[in-house]
Amino acid sequence: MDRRQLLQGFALSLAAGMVTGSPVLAAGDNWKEDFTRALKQKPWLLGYKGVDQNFKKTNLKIDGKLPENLKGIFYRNGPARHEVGDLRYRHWFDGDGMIHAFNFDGESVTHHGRFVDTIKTEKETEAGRALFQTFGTAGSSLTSGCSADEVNVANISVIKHNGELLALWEGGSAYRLDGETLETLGLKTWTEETAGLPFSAHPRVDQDGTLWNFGYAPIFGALIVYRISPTGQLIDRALVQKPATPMVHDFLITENHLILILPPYHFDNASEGAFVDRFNWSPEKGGRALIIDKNNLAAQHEIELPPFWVFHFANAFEDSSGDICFDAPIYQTPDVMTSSFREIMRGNEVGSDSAQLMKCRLNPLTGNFDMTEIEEAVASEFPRIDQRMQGRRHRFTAVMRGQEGAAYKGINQLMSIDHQQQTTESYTFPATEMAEEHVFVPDPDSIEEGKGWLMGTSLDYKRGKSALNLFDAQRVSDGPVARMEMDYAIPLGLHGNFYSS
Amino acid sequence: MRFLKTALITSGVLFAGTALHAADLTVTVTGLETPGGTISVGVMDGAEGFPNKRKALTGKRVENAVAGSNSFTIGGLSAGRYAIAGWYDENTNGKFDTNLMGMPNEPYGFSNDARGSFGPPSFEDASFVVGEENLSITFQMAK
Repeated sequence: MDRRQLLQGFALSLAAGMVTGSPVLAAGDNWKEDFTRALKQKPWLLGYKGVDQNFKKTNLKIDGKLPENLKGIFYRNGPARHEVGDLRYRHWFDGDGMIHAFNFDGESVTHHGRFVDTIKTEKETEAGRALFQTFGTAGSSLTSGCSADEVNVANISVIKHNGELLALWEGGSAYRLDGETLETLGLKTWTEETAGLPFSAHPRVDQDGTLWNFGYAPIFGALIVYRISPTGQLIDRALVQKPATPMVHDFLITENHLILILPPYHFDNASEGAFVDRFNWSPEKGGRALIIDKNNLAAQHEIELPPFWVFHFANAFEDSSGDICFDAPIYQTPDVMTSSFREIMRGNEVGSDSAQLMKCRLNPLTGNFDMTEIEEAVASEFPRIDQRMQGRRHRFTAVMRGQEGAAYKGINQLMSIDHQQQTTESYTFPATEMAEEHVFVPDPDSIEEGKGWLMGTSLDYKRGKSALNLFDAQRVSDGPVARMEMDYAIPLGLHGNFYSS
Repeated sequence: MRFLKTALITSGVLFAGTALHAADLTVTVTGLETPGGTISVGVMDGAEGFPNKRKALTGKRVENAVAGSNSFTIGGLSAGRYAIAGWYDENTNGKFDTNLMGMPNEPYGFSNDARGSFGPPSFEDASFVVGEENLSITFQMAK
């Protein structure tokens, strides 16, 4: 099949895409019992079981050799408390966030993990039961909360900016944390006028240290864009009125632009129920790219796109012709979210289409758009780059690959793609391991792109132990150069970042 | 949540006449974290336009509030069903401060501690009945 056929096939399948979401909270369902029963049959469900206690600081055994110049802390966030009182959440993205810290001091590696002490957990702990509707769970015993921060679970990612550690969700404020103890310090308020507004989980750090981010607020029919200085001051912001707000999880920056891909997955303000169920997938309406001038946030225009769903982008850059180029794992529909990651919480395996890593090209003036498959990178997710190339032409993208059609079964391969040489390198984890996002950690003694390590966690579900893996980023197929195993399992998580000390 | 802005600023100031057979309502507002601000409450007697497009029947402004709990009396309520909306001007700038999307940045509250979902509660949820006798109610103000 040549490239054109591939593209046509992909476009057709996109156009035909339908969401197969399932209803919430049918009476008499007991997801807790269902999950417990399923876990006995399918030990890999351990990754979705959840925990309700913090992890005390523990020294990890090191297999292999740690680079002497690798010093700093790898932080990782993810939903971790999947059961509150008698309720087991109906979606993987619902659970209260826990931050993990892996501290490298040059000789040893320690791990500790701590829940973010949110307003929600404080109220629910006092009540002794679940009180609030979440991303994917609703029911008569749950209320929707007065404001986004009352239901903020702070469970998607974690960044450090201007020395401040922030746990990120996407519906409300970031939470400030102590970088050493992981204690929660409170909500992050950039300015009074942005207090409590959504601050998404995938901010982008520009070449000059500027932190760009956005938030989508479907209840208010608007998006907000943030420009935060390297010293942590909000120096500009823009509101974009967007009735029937689309769900937007990540975005892109280039030298001159901010790009928000708006999928045809729109919020219906008149609807009720869990947050995710209030969005309608309408592929016939097509998608949009919202392009914003970085130097004038009021200068915005939109370009029509084919309908597709996307969680994450690797990176974007502008080429010499002015085209905006980016690579991202693209889905035909959001089924993986509306169906697979819901049903897995009661141990049900519901397949959904996988994300194909695509190279996309968008001309901001003509509106021309095309995308090409990176063929080897089927069933890909969690794309990461060498952060030093943010918004500039990057040579390498690292992705995690899973079993086609069965994302819920986890990831079993780390793949590094060399866009310049058009080659890939990959490492397949042992059969009983589920791997997670691996982040690029630059070698502090080199300025060369891609020189450094890929770092991430995995869960050996058979032995009930998680591990932190470290790969030479340019020799991924050699396997980990070092592996730090825990004596316990930590829940499968989402995103993290490494910060050098 | 632009709902609160107009109603709460005007509610303590503008009100209509009083009734002949009237009860006194003692209101206790709790939960104030900082002293020195101004409490404004408005008493409303119906669901139509509640709370932002309805003029308060009566109300009260209390300056130099103390941290924690503050009590005051609103007199002259005839028998009927009422709801109270109130806010706390923490920084005494005379404005009910909100963020860009109209969500409150200063403490606010409704009788019965009624809370809406990303907006105001209904009159029904916030309402209480006043009869011939004097009555006391307590509600919290929070952001």
